[in-house]
Amino acid sequence: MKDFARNLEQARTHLDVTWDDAKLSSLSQGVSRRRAERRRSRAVAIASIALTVLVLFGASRWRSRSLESPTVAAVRSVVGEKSWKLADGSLAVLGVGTDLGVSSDAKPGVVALVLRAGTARFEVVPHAPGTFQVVAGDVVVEVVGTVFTVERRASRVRVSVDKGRVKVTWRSDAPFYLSAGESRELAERPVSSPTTPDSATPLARDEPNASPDPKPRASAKDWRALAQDGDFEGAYRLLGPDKASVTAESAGDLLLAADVARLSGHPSEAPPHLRKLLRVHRADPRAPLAAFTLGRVLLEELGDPRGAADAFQLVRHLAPGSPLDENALARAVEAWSRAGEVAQARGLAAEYVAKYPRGSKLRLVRHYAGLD
Amino acid sequence: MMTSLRLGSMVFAAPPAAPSGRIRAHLALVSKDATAKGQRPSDPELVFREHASYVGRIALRLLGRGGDVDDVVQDVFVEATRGLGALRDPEAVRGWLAAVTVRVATRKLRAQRLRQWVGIEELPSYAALQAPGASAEQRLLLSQVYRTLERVSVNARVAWLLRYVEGERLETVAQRCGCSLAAAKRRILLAEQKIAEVFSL
Repeated sequence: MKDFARNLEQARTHLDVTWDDAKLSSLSQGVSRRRAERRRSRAVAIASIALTVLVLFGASRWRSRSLESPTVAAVRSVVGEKSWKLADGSLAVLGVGTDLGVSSDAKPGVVALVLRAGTARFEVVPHAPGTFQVVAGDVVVEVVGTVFTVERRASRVRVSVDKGRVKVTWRSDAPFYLSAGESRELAERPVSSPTTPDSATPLARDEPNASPDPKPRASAKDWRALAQDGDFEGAYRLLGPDKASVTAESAGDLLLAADVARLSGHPSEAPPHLRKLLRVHRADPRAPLAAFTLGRVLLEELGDPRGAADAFQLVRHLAPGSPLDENALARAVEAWSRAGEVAQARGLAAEYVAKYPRGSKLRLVRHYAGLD
Repeated sequence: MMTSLRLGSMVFAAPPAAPSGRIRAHLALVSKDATAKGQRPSDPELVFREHASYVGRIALRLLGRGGDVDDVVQDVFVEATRGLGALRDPEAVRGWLAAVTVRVATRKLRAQRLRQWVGIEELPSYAALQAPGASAEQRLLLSQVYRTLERVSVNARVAWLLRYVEGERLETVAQRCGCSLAAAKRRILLAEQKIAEVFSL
């Protein structure tokens, strides 16, 4: 053992390197070469990671943009209402059957929405960058920080302003402005201004009691047939302003008459039909629907949020637990909020959150109740 | 002819292939002077010139063959360039380089074992041992020792060589190997048993 240790001790001293400066320089150059190779490899790795992150980030951005603000695809609300939050924070609330899309021809910095049909209420974020436009046929509504509604039915477009001020351009006419509380209805043919009605084509319908139809009234049966074919304007002309033909009609006729009034651009004439239905046919299964329609007309078209809130509450009373209940509760929150009754809105919002914690209107309810 | 040397982000003018003794003395003085003044050992070229042979010796003693020593030395200094700036104590450079050398050599030995295991590399022959000045008996002894150490784990081999060939204390062996003192002792004992068995000790 001692011999082994001694021999190893002597032998190990010979295990050594003896390098001259040439060898050291060669090794030193090798070190610098390897260092450069490592730096290149690291740069390639970092670039690959960065590229991967960029691709993933871009894909997620593209996905979120496509969800929130599609550039060409339309947003269509076929059943029930739908809210659509735009990338700049503005909100569009679409009515039933509304067809709203984004213009692919918009200039940079312009958010241009195209309303093809139906009703949409817009809450535009004040001072958001760029211009916010809604195009409905020939009518262009341009806004900066406001709340307004655009409804497009057949050849008519109605613009109502709740807050702020909008600039409306229609065909080649000089643009005009609408302020809070004002509304204007425009049609395919030139129409009147709110102050100077055009007697030839009396399509401006700001006055609820305006009498638009000089034509003689035809039979009740005719107006129903036209309405069922979708010709609401023709049906309205036949129905006439005194509504005598539906005085003693069924719940179905009253609902149809209300639709004719609403969809032909005479929303102020719809509530009497609906109220009559609720009074005479309260037990009819269509009564909750009539109450809901009444609430919507009052809220969206006639600027009567308190009346609307009562109508939505009536829906819940008539059909507790029905599929309409969630919508009616959400709309009641909105109506009380727009009426300035914050406490009422919050009370109902709390009920909504408790009853429908995953409800489709949750975001809207929280928004109107100021819970965000 | 002057060539440039790039280490990290710095470019150094490499000295002539065979600098004079005066330049060598100057390099040694600069390095020792910096160490004496407590400066950080951040000049990779000076560190290389001063410690390359020491690193080479440890690599040779761990590997047993000269063929891979250059590789290990270059790898050690590539890794060293990154960590030099972090060293506060100039005296620590040597120990730190030794630890890096042990790590790199261990990695190389493991890769070698793997290649042998899959059959793409022959068992090493230690006949042509790089031991200038050694007698025939001493060469035979060393090659037998390395052949025996092929039969123990890489960790045990490295610990034993550090203890008995490099002549380090047990605490230093543990430090270089990055293990506890008990683990270092255990590794050395494993190799010792194999040596005792082969050499009938």
